[in-house]
Amino acid sequence: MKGQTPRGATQVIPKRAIYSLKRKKKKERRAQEVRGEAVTFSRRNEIISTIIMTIISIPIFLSYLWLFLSSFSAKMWHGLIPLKFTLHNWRFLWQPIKFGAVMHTSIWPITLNTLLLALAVTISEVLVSTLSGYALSRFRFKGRVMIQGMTMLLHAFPGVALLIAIYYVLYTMRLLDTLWGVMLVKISLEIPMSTNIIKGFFDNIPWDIEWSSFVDGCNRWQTWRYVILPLLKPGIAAISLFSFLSGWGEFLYIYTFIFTSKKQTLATFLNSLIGEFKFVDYGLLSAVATFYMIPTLLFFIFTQKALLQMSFGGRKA
Amino acid sequence: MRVLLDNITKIFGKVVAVNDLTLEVEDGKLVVLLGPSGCGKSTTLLMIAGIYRPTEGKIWFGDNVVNDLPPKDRKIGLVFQSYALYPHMTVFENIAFPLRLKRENKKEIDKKVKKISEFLEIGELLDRKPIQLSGGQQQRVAVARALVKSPDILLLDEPLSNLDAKLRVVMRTELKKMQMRLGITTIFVTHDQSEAMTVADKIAVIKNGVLQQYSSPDELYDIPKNLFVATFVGSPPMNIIEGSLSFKDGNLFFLNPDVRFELPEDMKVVLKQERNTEEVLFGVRPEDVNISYERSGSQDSTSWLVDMIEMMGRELLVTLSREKTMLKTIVDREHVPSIGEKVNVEFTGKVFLFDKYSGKNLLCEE
Amino acid sequence: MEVKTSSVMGFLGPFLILVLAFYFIPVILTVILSFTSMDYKLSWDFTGFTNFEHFLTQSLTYKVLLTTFVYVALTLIFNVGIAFLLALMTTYFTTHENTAMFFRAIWLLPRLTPVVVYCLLWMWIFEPTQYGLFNTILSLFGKSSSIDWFSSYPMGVIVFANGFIGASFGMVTFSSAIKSISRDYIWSAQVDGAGDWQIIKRIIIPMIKWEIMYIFIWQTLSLLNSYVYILILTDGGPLHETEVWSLYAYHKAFKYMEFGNGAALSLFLVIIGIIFTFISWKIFGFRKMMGQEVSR
Repeated sequence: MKGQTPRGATQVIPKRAIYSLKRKKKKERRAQEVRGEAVTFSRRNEIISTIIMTIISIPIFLSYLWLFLSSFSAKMWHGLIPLKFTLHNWRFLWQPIKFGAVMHTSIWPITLNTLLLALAVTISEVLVSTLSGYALSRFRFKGRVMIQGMTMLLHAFPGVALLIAIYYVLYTMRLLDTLWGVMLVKISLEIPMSTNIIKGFFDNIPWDIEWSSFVDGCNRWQTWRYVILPLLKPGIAAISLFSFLSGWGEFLYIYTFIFTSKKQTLATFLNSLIGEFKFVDYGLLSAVATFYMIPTLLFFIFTQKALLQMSFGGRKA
Repeated sequence: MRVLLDNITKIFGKVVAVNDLTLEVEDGKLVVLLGPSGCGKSTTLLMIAGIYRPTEGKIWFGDNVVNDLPPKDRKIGLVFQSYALYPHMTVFENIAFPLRLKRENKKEIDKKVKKISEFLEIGELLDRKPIQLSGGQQQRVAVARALVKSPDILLLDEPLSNLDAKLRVVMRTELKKMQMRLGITTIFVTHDQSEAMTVADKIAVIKNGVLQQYSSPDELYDIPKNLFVATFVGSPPMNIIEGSLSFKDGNLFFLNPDVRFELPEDMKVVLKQERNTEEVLFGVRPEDVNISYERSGSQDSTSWLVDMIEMMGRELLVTLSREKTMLKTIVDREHVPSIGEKVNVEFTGKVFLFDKYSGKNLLCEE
Repeated sequence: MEVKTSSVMGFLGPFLILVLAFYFIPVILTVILSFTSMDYKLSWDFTGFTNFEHFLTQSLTYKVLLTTFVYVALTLIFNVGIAFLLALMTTYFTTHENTAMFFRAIWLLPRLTPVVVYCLLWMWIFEPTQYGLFNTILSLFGKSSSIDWFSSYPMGVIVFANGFIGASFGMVTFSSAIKSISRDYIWSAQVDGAGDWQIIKRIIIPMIKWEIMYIFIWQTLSLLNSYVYILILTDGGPLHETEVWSLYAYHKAFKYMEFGNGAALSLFLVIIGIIFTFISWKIFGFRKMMGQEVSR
């Protein structure tokens, strides 16, 4: 071959490359063809990457599976394969849990606390950030640029570093040991981000649409109700979802600012259960944890696609 | 290098993007794939490049089937409409990129980049980033990157569409000149028929993934194989009038309530007596429609109303109407009609006849 | 529209009050508190630089500093590495959109899970007996005795737990960045002769370098301050092995009720936070203004 073939013809193409590719199974190639891939696309790399992804995802995948299975079984082989079905672990739903030596706690008032806190966080966060997002997007006023810069800065600033000082602030406001206090702290540390998100949605609604609705005869309220709100829905939905889940899962602020056991939520409750039963009764722990996970799982299943499409920075506890 | 597409079909899911396309590009020629957007011309180009694999059929480069050859082994250069200049590299690095991937030595790379950038007159731009270049300069850099590895085949995907109108005209001439100097086999995709006409040795007109006609620019203009090609090529597009054929006293006429035209001798030879009263589409290019202001004796000329006048620079595009028929014509600026005026019309040049249902040119054998 | 500042206050009021009460005042308070010896009585006793001098003389401070550094560095590498790997695999290497979605969803789940439940999962994974996941896996490979991960490799435990939850943020950011790279670039690189590895190295990484930088800065900052998982999993133990700076400050304040001391420690975090915030704002805010997206 080398250099002896006539010019401009065959010598450019390494024959070996052709043959090795030709040896590929026909079926495999057919599958690629339907999806319209590049010739360079290597099926092998796809398989390798899927295997790697599977391996690194094992801890996540198996641990959630374990949580669910273990809550329904009396015994597990190596903590992985359930051996005997039981509802005993779920007894906390209808009877108080024996806690330590004397304490008896029912899960329902605690669940209610958790739910109320999550709802309060959601509603107030949506309200506050919609108002401020609208103002920052639509009004021109003195100090707007400054406030906008501030929201961006705060968005990145780690609020947790301020916990000690916040403790003192809550103390002077007489909000220590109240869920209201926790709610206020929670939303304050999250509104810079949600304001930014909502502002982005407002920015994307062109003035023309608002103007034309005025021309069409809407008053300010009707414009809001029929024109702006529908366009804003995805943004509000996203913020509601995230703030609900983050309120529902909140641990640190409650752990730090709440002392009365009547005011505890599922997070602190589960934490003290873990302290009590760690490495001993995984059945009970996993049942309570699964119960606690129900809203998370529901949201996850129904909104997974939407969740993946938006970035969710700043939600780090 | 000769490129042969041998019954190529490409299916994406359920969509047939290219349907049984056969095309031969001769060595050293510039062939244009022309068609409206979404017609499959870019898909065809990407199959030649090796980005897509044809669902059926073979692609030959010279004497080899390259279906299974990855793009990097095909010895091709490719220029995209977006140019795809890597924004994080300087012009030099962009052009040198293919050579660096081949691990050529530094001196060799320097020499080749210098040579190609001088050839394309972008020698002073080598230290800049793509974002600092004008559209025309970006385009030259993209061409340089495609050519630097001395490919056997150059593929251009709408290379001029991102330029402004004036520059586009300049660049297409330059591209053609460059291609002729290098004598490189080139496949050029565009949706712009005037661009295609100016640069191509041969044009392949594609519609809905099917090849309509593959011939030289003049032939495409003079003997369009069907209605689609006839109306797609030429600007302003050909006038199409519905009507029927009529044999009378040994003469052949095209008839319609508004138009009565005696078809030339050669058509009579091709069209047989049986086609009498058959419904057809009659085509005439705007430049072959002449208007006159005096009443002439000819029976073909009839009185038309001037509807609209559009300025086209050196000439005027005049829209005429009569009952149910519209005609566009090009008039030079010495004889400007006025709107509402009545004029006479004469067809002076070549006329065309198409089958009303299949759109086929009745004068083409086959 | 042009409006008076006073009428804007109706809209911005709640936002500004909250920000004032829970950001600005706390920042100032942290500074002031760090010069006091405030304890559970919450009284103001100014003691000058005593708190800072105290920490400088304690060897534990240096141990904590080192632990923090090791923890942040390891988790960061783990975090960003896995995020990039996942993003690449779910965008560049996979053509099955469903597979990609599945893996992205799996990795998003920890982020949405309540903190305590997530920690419980890791307690099981690192369970010291044969019932834990890692010990089970080891026994499959023929190792008979179980490892007590929490006392033997406490740093490993917290790096893993934080790494897995942190990866999702980078993964989402990187995936969308890679997806937004025009296919023309990839195709041209293929024609130019690049293989997968070269495309990743020479095209994809340079084109998403802003995102990579952003994630690095963001993750560093949040790792410095995210002690909640450590608090639940190891509580800094055993023997301060996993006591990072932020957790140390927390313990000082809320375990030993030494608010002054705790504030002095958090002051460092607050200052680092402010510096990092300004840097990232300068870099990314500037970039936003310049309309960098043009380059794609």
